[in-house]
Amino acid sequence: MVLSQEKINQVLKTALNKGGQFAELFFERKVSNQLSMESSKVETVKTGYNLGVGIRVINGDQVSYAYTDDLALEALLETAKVAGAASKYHDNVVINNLKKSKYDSPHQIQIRPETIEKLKKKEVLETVDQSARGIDERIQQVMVNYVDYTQEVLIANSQGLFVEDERVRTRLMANAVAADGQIIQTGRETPGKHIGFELFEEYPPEEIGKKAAEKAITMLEARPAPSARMPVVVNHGFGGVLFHEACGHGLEADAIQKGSSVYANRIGEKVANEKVTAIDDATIVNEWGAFVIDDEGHPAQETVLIQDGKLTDYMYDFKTAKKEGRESTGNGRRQSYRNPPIPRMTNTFIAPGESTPDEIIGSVDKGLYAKSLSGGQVEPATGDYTFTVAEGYLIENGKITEPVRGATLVGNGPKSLHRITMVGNDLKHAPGMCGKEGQSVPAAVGQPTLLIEEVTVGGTEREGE
Amino acid sequence: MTETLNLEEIITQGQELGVDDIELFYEESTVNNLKVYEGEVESLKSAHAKGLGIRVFINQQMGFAYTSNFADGEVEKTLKEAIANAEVASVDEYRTLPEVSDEIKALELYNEELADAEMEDKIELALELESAALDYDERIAAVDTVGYGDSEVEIRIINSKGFDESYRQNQCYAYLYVIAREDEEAETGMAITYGDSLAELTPKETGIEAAKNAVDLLGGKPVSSQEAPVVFPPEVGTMFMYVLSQALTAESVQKGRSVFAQRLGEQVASKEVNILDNGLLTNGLATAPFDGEGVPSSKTEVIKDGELKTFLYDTYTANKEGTNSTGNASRGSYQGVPGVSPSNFYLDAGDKSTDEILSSVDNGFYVMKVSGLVTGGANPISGDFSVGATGRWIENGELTKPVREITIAGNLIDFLQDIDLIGDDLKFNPMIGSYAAPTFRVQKLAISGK
Repeated sequence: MVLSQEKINQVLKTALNKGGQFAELFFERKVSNQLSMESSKVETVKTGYNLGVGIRVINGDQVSYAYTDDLALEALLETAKVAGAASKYHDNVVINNLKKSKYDSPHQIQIRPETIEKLKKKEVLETVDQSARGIDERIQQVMVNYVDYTQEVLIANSQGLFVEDERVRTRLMANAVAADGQIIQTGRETPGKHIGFELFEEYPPEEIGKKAAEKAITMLEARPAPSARMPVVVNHGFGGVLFHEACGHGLEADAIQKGSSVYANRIGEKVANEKVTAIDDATIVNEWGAFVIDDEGHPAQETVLIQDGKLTDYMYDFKTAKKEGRESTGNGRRQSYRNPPIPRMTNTFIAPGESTPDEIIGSVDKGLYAKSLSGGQVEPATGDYTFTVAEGYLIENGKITEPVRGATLVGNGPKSLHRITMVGNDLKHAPGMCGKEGQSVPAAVGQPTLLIEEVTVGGTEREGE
Repeated sequence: MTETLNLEEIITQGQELGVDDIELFYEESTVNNLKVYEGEVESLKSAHAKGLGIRVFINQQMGFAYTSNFADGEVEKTLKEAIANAEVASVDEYRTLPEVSDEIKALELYNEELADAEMEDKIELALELESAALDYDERIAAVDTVGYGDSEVEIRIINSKGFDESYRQNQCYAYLYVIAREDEEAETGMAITYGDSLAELTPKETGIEAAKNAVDLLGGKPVSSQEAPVVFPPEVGTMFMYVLSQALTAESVQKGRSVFAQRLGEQVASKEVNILDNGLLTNGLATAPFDGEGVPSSKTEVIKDGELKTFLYDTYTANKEGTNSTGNASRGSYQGVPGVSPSNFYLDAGDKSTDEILSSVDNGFYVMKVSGLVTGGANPISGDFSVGATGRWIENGELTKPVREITIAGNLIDFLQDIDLIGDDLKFNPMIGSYAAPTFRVQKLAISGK
């Protein structure tokens, strides 16, 4: 251990010297590896060594935070002093003796990234590149990015908490670009998990390259999407980004307490169709947003946010929970030792229902099948969203017919939740990086195939086409 | 106490380990941030951090590693890792260090007054922003976020070709997001102020600006689909500068990702349009004596009187075309490798006042927010863009009713060729980066609404 218990005690004591109510030390050591390929060349091979300590002092509603990458005792004490400087005198705060807790990790790592030769990682890039280029000669560019990291954290606080965790994550991002004259389409595949190099047993690189290229080619041949209000079937997996962005952020307790969320003061109310149950669950084995403890040392848990259409709970970190005199839900997360924790989603998804995907598609006379979504933008105060459909098809008489490109889904998150009238039995999760207040953390989205009975589809079809 | 590094020694060590060339990027930074909420300090953050990025070249292969840990043996481990990484990279004859220049200018980028500023004054300033917004109008339901931040950065680059230069700079800024509500309607507004010292910040005006932005847009409705002149204030014009700059780097052009490829020497914009990249601009947000690999910063006329003159280059993309770097290598922090990126990138100011521009429009759109532009709403290859927009309608030269839920669409080249009036109010938008624009008018754009 880099930091002895004695050293940590001294730091926490110094942080509370001026009278703060709560002090916390977050230690992080992270090794990251990245290889990227474009034009069939390995352009960047990069290793990062990150090491540092962040110290947080809470005093009433106020949080002070300071960090350092210098682990010498004097530097740590100086940082603690800075973090504690703004506190005003409070009742004498008792610092409990540190008591080490140990949690067994369900997230087994079979092949640790540091045991894999760099050349093996390079081979993954080459395989993806070649398999994508082999699909069709109209594939003109392939960009592949491999990332792995191992993050060790240690968290100790003045309430006596003292825990450690290790997170190992591996992800591959493949983009295939297909071109035909002026038309250019991109296909993306981005598998990632809280796992080691065995990720590629579940997602073989040949398959990743092939899928990305096929998507791009399909969309190249697609005709422009029509514009109208229509039923939309959203495919399982990354489609869950819609819930994450347009509703999930509004269920984080900081937004609730500031009154900037449409879901404030609505526990127990019906906020969605009764078919909808939504869950945040950091315990899903090896899932991208999983962990054993959150970045405040609270054990990972499952939190039901919406049960059969009724709002049941929000996502809390330590500070927002304390304000309401309740327990954290284990959603206190941070990008690194350089950032204080805030309430964040982990693996957030709409729970599976009864219908098969075929029944859902079969129920639609005329609509859109959004097989995959790419990015989107949401107005936080209102939940108004715009999402781009990366791969879309028309549904006609209950059957998927031809592909369409350039479709956008325009709607309002809270309203769309009421319009989810069929939920499939094929739940799937997908990884993403979630940004909030300048901090980016790994978070998985997810859902089964589902039907939103009416959404505005903005297409690019013009008259005469 | 803090370990101090002998950078010259690391260069020698690299050479002994067999590298052809080696470069060290050393960065030390101090940041202070604070947020207030409902008259109280909500959070304070302060930190001092440092880090070292090591780039090595062996047999035309490049490797990179960085560390923030300077304890015994750690830097050596990082150096060896960079070398191991180089062995995996593809051979590329164009990956080199730049030739050493002796034209590095000394710039005054450090303000002692800011370095000595008191915490109380920073808090006071943030509180002033909050109350200015709340006092502006009773429909301001909440000031969701009010932040103040300052940063001080010291950068030193040293390499095996003999380059060894450094600079130090500091900056401060304050911003806020407000929410206005009326009946069931909600709108957000934001504004930012920045400068070299607290005295340069304008809390009152900025607080009012954010509140006004939100309140003015309440109750907006779509207009009917039509072609109309559109006026772009700096806050939105800068977002288009960002999109244009991405298509004007040599990297985009060489990789076939730019609508400007094959158009050098062509008239790509109206005669009024001058677009510049100037790493030496006085008071620019990205002003520095040299770029991310030690090439002197310079002023580059990218589009002059509407004609496309050049693209932006770093050493790698310049090597590929046998030309010179324009000093546009950027690397974010010690954790990154250099890539081509603009410095201070802007549409040069014209001579019209904002009022003159507005009053020139009988029937048109004043766009105050766009959504989706920088997240994929513009296709850099075809130049086509389509973005959601919010703003106000202009009638007979006056701003009138709020407008929302419309899209504006066009092509970047047509957009540039239709710019006909340019204002004198050149302004940066730090939310998007070091991009600046004055208010300008585009003769016509397709608006689709109800």
